Amino acid sequence: MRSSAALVGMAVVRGAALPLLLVGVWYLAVRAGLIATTLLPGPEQVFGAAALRVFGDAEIYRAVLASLERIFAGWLIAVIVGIGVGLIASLSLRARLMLEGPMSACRPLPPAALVPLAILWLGIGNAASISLVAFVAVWPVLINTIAGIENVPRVMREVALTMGATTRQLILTVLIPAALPSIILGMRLAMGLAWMSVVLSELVGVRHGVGAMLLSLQQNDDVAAMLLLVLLIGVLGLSLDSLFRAAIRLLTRPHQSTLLT
Amino acid sequence: MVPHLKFQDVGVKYSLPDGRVSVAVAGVSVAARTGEFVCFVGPSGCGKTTVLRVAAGLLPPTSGEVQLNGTRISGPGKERCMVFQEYGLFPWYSALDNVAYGLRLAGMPRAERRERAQELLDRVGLASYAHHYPGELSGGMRQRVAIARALAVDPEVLLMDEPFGALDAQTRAELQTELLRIWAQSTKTTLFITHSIEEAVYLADRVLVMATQPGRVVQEFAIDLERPRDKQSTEFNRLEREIDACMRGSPALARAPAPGS
Repeated sequence: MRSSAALVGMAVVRGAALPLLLVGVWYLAVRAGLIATTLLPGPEQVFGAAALRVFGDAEIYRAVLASLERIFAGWLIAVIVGIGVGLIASLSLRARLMLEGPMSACRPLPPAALVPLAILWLGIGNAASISLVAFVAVWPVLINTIAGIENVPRVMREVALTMGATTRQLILTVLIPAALPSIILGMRLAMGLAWMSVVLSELVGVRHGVGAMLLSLQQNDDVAAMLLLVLLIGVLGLSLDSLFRAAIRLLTRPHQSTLLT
Repeated sequence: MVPHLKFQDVGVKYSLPDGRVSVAVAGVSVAARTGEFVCFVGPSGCGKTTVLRVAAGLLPPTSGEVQLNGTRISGPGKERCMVFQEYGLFPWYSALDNVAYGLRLAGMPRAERRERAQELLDRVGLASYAHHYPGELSGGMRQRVAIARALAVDPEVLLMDEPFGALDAQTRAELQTELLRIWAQSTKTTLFITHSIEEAVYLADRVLVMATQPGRVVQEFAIDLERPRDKQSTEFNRLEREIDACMRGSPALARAPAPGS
């Protein structure tokens, strides 16, 4: 019987093995001169000099904070709108029919195509950036809310009805709790999309933000710092997802582990 | 005297997508006395469940009507509670909160409804499982919780749709005995659906045999045996054979070519 500490240790080793291997290959490839260092500096440069440069400057902290603010604001709007519209669409057939067309038309719009419009309408700055994040992140919440309510077993609705539930009681005591795992999954997917879109939205003209910083590093031709920032964005996105999962785990009881799939 | 629950020439038809009309049940006229235990038996597709759903108010009949105390039923109501084969427990509530569900809908204060729910769990033999969640209970225990939940709202009529159909033989026999004990204490008018002739003869005051195409009641058998009934007694077996012969001899089956001939 292995101790749980040993099991965690093994999991860490297993999880770290591939990234470490890739860094090794990267190092050797640059060292052997297979890739020009102007395009791909070696890992020692990225994690060495560039890291000192980037993390030694207050700008990175301001940028991450600014981006996180936009993500949360956009995500929150997406969650509220997504659940609200999703509820309406699942409860009223008429609303569903009216929403279906516009929804299918808007969903595949690439966010990059919306950046110029957002700036035109809302100006350069937070409003445009947050709106774009919200627009991108709303779909998984909306679709998962509708799917979650649609998949509530008929027998649960009927139990409530034969016990005398009103429509309001049916929604609050059966439909929403039963759809919650699906809705929470949608919220998680939305968080990932929010990360992706915030960087994009910041590429065009906000003062602080990881996307804006990426752009200015590109203009300074600081490839090593750019690589570091891209990795940092990835790690931050991953941490945010882990935080989200941890929060769900804290808020739900063990028997509701379906929330974490 | 007005019967407690009365089906008056009830018929249910469905329009199929190709424009044809499918008759689920036709001309069902049944009357149940207050406190009577009536079983419906019949092959799959004979409309047993349809009949029950009409009584629950979950399905409007296309012809005829069902009356409770002489008043026409027009929708679901908690005076007619239904117990489903799939249990329909809410996985996010503990056993206790599941049982208290109908009382919560009715606006009973929390402490009071929990006390009442605990009494009902005691009655179905699950006193010490109040804080377990449905996912932690066996099939038989889940159905006990579902029965307690239905009894909690103190309905006049108990509608049971193959409640023991998914249980193993031993659990099934246990629950049959317990149901009779509970029923004897509360004298609720009970409509019970099963395709087990043995179960019907064991439980019912009266067994109604249904046949297919169209679904209808073809014959009724009064079961005048003393309870508790001995499933091995000659009288019991004679009734089983009679009902079995009636089911086999139903016109729908007679029309089909006899196997092996």
